[in-house]
Amino acid sequence: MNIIRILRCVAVFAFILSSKISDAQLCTSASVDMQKAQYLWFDTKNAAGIAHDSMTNYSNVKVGYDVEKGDFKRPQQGEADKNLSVKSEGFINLSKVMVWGKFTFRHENVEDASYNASITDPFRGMPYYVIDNYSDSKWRNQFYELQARMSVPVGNKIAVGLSGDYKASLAAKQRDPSVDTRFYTLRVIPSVTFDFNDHHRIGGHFNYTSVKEDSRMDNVYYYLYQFYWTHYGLGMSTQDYGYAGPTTNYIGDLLGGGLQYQFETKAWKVLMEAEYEKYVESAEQTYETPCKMFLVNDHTAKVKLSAIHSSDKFILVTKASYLYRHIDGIQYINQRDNTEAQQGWIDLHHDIRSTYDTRSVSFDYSIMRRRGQEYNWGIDASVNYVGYDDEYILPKSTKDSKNLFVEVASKKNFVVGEKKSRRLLVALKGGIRNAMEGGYNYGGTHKDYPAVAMEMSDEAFLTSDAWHIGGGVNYSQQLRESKKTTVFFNVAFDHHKSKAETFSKRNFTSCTLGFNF
Amino acid sequence: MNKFKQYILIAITLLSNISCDKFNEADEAEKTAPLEVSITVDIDVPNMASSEGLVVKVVNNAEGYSYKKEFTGEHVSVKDVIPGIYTISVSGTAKDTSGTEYYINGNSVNQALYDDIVNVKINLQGLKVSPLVFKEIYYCGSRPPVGFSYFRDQFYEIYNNSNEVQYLDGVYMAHLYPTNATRELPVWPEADANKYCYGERVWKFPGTGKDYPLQPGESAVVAQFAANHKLEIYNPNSPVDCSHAEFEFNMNNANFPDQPAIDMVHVYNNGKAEMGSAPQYLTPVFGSAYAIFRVPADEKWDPVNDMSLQADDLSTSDEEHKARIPIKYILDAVEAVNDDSYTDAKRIPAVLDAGVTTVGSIYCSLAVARKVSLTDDGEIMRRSNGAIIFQDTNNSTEDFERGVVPEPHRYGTGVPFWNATY
Repeated sequence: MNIIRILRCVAVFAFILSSKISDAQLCTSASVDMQKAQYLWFDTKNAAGIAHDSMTNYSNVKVGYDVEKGDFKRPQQGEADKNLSVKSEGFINLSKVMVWGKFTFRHENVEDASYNASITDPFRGMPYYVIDNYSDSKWRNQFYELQARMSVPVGNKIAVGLSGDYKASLAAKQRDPSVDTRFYTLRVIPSVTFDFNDHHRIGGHFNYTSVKEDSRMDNVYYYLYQFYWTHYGLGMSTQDYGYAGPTTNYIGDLLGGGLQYQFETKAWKVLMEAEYEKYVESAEQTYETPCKMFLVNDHTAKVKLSAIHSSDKFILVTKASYLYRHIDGIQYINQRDNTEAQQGWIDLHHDIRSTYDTRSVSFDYSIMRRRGQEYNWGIDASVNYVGYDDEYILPKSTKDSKNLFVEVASKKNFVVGEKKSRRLLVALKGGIRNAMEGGYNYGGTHKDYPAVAMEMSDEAFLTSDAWHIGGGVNYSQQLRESKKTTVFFNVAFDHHKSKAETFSKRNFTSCTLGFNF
Repeated sequence: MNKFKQYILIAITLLSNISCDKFNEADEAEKTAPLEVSITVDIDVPNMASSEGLVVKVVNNAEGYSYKKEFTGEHVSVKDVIPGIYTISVSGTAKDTSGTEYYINGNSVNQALYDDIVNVKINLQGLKVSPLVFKEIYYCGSRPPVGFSYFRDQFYEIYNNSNEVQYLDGVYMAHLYPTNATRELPVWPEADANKYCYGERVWKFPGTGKDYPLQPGESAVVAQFAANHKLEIYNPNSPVDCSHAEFEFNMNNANFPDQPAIDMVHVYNNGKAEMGSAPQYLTPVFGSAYAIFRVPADEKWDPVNDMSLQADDLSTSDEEHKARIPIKYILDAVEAVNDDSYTDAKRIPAVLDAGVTTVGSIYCSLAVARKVSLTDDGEIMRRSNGAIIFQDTNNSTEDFERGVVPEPHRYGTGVPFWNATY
């Protein structure tokens, strides 16, 4: 699919969504931000709940280009990461049904990435993947994502909803050992809400997600054999050598659900949510004679409390959440059937070889000073704790880290002119990362294999104190005074500086041109 | 409410498509725990029953786990073994009641060790200590200045490691099947029952009985093509000059014509005595399994005309007939594999070679060379005539140096008087 076709699709998508929007509605960047900040149910997976968020119709189209550069990164990331993206998003209230949709396309050029040689996202919770020992790998990746939510009120008390996401990506490593890997996700989430009365409401959703990644390694220069290493977790790996790496078929299924309770008064909206997901993903090598290699048993539990207080002058948003994720990394013992029966690979035994625990606590506070349909100024503050505690059981290796992130941001929405609603939104932010403790101890064999160096480098990143400072400028104005269609241009910059000697910095720069309808 | 029911139906349909097996497998998995593995042996050598002094090795080379213990009784127990796929080998030397020294070897390749499998029995076979051994093998080839590969400089060196003169006349040399190291092992007729190994192509040293003697300390180089490979017309990057090789595998290729070296005699290829259309005798640059063997004077071995000496791999429909070579004929065998990760892809019985060797790559101009035996003082062990005694425990993992620059007659081993190329 070329860029022109994507842009055409986005334009049609945006046009459909924009056709119902009132001309009285302000579409500045600050007004859109303020609306979204008040959507409590939208922040859950319960699509039925969007009926209770008092969402106003909106739609937008954005074209963005962003660049990350610098060595303060996890080792599998690129020294430079350039993204061109096209996004469109919109919501329509058709009175009997409410529909929200989003389409995203992103083309990513990654330069000088290390280690990962086989999968799209090495951080997604699958420790089993193939690595190499090069630090100058280029990747050319494309991501497509289509999301939709629909809510249908049934009578006065019930709303049912359905959410569907489809993601597809293609990631191609450019140097040998090369890979062409394709990742797909299909997610379907039916949901329901029930109103007890005007103040109390409950909701629930069920989540089924299907995941597949098809990773096919193949050397372009097939006559130049390459070493590669299959990583099982925490640096434990085995070495291979050949004209092509393995073909790996990852298939995952997720089952999950959540319960929500909302309390609402004229000034307050409070939403509590508890969510649990169980995800199982297998990795098999080759399709012709499948050999089970790895399985992850991934449990995630999350509780979240969100509260919004609205008054004539201010909007206060407070969110607190706790997340616990536990992954069992399960390895198989297989034997090739070398009898006349030739039954292929026989799975004899599997057991848990590694475990991965993540605990995260976050607290976010935001205050916005109203000015009509938009805000005049706003301040955000957040405190996040993230702790990783991973173990390879035999031979024992451990990797853990505990980080505290504190960030403060402020934004001021300047009125440049009332004519065409010209606005200049200026944002500043800064934060620190306190790496409280952590360490990596590899107790396995083959300490000279690159997987160990990869984990050491990753741990160095995860245990680095750092600070960051950034800001952005967003200019928006209506295209014509008689129409509310607003064009905006946003530039943002964020500078992350490590206090560790191992790293220097990483800069994030982005610019976006878009239209709010 | 009808729509609500539809959603429920959709959800049930989706759920029914989810693989319950995978969820069950994930949930029933338990944390791994170390094993205690008990190993017993069954010695198949007449007049020899004791396992005392034999050494057992439990090796998972891919993951780097290795355990070693010596037999002091009927069985040996190895503790703290991490579950996985292992090669368990038992080896040593012993003399029978008549004083004949044997290599005692046995192994279990691709042996899974986990909760339910912790008792392993190894059948041990004996092979007489060989006077003739492979001393050096250069199989991986080299890279030319232009192009990708050059493989005509392969060579194999045979050494007299004994204290008596040995005659090469009538000694066979073969590379064994499977040609490349593989975890998909062939299936042989049950009646063969570990009595044979299987030759893909077999050659024989010429001579009528005493034409090609090797004195203690002398060696003979058998080249694929006995030329100086460093010449511009071949490959200036090649590490070897094989123009003084004692023998060569002449395949009558006009582009690589017959050299002064003595021609090996072609014996067998896919059921026939003819060489076939191959332009050279090339063994895999990844490493193959090589054997030299001698047929006892009172026995006849003719796999071309005696169909009972041919066998087919039953796991494949390919009609390629291999030559049955009785294990008792084998003088020496060496198994070379692609790299260390192929240790669990061992394809020949441990009685022939309890280990594997490798240069770890292809076209890298490197060879494997047998180690010299050293005294406690670190001196090279020699016979009374000065001949070097090379290490020979019938385990190429232990006996061979890996990744050395190939050098015919390394250590100055003697050149037989009948070599007319000098």
